[in-house]
Amino acid sequence: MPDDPRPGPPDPTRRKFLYTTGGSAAAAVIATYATSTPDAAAQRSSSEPIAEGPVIEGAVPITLRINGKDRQLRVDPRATLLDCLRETVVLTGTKKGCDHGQCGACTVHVNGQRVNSCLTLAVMHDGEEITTIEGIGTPDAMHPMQQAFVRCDAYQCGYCTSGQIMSAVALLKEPCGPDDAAVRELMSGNICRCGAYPNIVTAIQQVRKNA
Amino acid sequence: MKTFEFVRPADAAAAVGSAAKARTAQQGADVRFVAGGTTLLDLMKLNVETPDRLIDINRLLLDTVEATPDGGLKIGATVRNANLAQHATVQRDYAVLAQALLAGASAQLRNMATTAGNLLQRTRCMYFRDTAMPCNKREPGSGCPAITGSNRSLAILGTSDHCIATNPSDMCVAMAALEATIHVQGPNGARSITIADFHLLPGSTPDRETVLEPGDLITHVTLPPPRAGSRQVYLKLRDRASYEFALASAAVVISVSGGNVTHARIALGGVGTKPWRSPEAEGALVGQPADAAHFRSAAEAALRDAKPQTENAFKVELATRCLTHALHMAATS
Amino acid sequence: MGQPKQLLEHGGTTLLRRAAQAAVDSDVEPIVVVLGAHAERLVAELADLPLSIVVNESWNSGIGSSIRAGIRALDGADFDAVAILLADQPFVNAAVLRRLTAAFRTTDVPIVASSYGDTRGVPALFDRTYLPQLAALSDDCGAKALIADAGGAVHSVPFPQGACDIDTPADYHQLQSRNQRNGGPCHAG
Repeated sequence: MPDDPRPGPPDPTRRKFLYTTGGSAAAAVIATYATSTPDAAAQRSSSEPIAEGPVIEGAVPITLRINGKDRQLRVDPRATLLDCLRETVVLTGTKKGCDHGQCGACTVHVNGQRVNSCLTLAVMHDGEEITTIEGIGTPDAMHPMQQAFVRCDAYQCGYCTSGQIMSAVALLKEPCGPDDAAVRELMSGNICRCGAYPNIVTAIQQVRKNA
Repeated sequence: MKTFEFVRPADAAAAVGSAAKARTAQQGADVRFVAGGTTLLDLMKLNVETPDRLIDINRLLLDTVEATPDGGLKIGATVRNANLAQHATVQRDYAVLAQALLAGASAQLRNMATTAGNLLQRTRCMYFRDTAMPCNKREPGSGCPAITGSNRSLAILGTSDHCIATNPSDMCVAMAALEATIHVQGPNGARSITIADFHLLPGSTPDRETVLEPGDLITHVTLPPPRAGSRQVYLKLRDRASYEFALASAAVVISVSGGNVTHARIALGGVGTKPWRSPEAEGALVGQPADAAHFRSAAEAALRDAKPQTENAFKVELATRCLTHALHMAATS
Repeated sequence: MGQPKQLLEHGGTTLLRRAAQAAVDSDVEPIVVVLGAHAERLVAELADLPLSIVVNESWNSGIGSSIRAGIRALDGADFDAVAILLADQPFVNAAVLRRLTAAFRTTDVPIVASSYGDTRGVPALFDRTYLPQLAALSDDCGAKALIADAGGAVHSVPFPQGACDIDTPADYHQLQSRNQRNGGPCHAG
């Protein structure tokens, strides 16, 4: 063995915390090698596409187009779109607040429309387009709404923030009066325990003005 | 959540067939249609609804809004509440409906909720939603703890000794004032039901909320042609400015000519066990001058038979003022 | 005469393509696939995927030589960590890899490994500070040896189905017959 020093703790500034994008700064090496080669000819098994998800009784195969990419999944029919995104697809940017459609932390876009992903089943959206916070922008290429939230300090703990941003981005394409009161009304489905509301409204109005 | 079979039939006939053998279409149904799912999934997570089969009707092409030959409007069962509220014809000719829809829920929920689902929206009574509690609606015969318990948000009109649960829908109140008709396709063919007849009073069977039978699929709702010159207002009063159910609400559709009310259709929300059309208020208004005093006496007529609960006596005066003010807003619009 | 085990089919695709697809779908990049025996036949399997292929002529000397070849091929690329995976674990999929990268972001230790049975092994993620060690693996040592050596510097992510890998014909038949059932490793023993 060469005299390499044992590696110390990695430099934390090198780690890119990419939770908002779900992206990875990791490479992969796939090593293949032959040990023994089975004699029997391989039989073609059932033509089931590669699917992510648990192998359980009654699981339903679906395809969701998530952030522009088709994902073939196997889901429990009871799985909400929220749980499917977080647990099966492992896109954890969308948060579970109340799980009953009352807080908006779980807001995602389905076919471009904002919805509470906790109150809809994954199986109901077979073949549909889903956009999550990970698909809105990246740290290096933030969506204008994300930039505005940062600039206007529109969050504190950050837990409601993905839902706020998803809601706000959708609002840009909805009929909404010009004043703050109209924005507050249309954002009333997203609650913030930290009380960042004034800055959230400011952020949204800035983006609307510059659009 | 109890596990279930999820099916997506190819057409309405197949959907009807798939639900036709259900034990009931009322509380405790073993087969449910799912459209937006915002009420159904909420209740399934609480185990208040426990269907064995969910029939997805979202792709049955029941999602259009069209004019009818008689100049009215046909609204598909799975039209989203948001789309219905923003529809140009609804905004122009059925403003009370647009206002009611926009007063309900949140933007996200309005994008999911559908016409048919909203017609079948369930009460928010905390005892109904808690399977640890007795509830005559959820388990007939188990009792109604709300009557002697927590009932601030519950009903003062249409109640019985068995149930005082409020119907929480805004859309239904507006549709009641617009005299909507609900069209159903069932195992024995198609039929239509006026909205007044669609929802049932609790009486001694609060578990039965509508006249639907197993297999009945709501396909669309029709509204009669709008009355030219009618003024329409939906006024909703609640604890928060937005995203909250009504303590009291009023839908009014009136015509005023020569200073007198010539036509009136009035419905109340937040106070009834079903969407509360008020012929009492209408009768007290038509032919009378459109002024504050007559608006107030019409509103008092609407609430004359109100039976307040232990915690919501305030609703009597609140609903009276709500209707009075809605009439004033309509008359001056 | 049999065929290379990487071309065995499971769930409608070959084991090799399955592993490559898992990496592609989990958004890791760049991806290097190291081929050894039967390289010409295997290259076609990966035709349209966004990855590089390296042929390790001395594949016969052991897994370490293939990993070294893969690390050399990554030289100059910008990444924080490298995932090492094999092509003979049929239950590795994008979600499994994403769980590893997600764990990597939240932990301080330099290695995130899969745990199954009573062992820790691949698929595993190594912080780039481990590149020198990976580039210097001896022929018969795989990533597993590095993990075992690292002691507390390893964060484990449970992956019980990682215990299933295809080494023998019996393993493969076992996998095919249990395709309808769930759970557990698939070794005949």
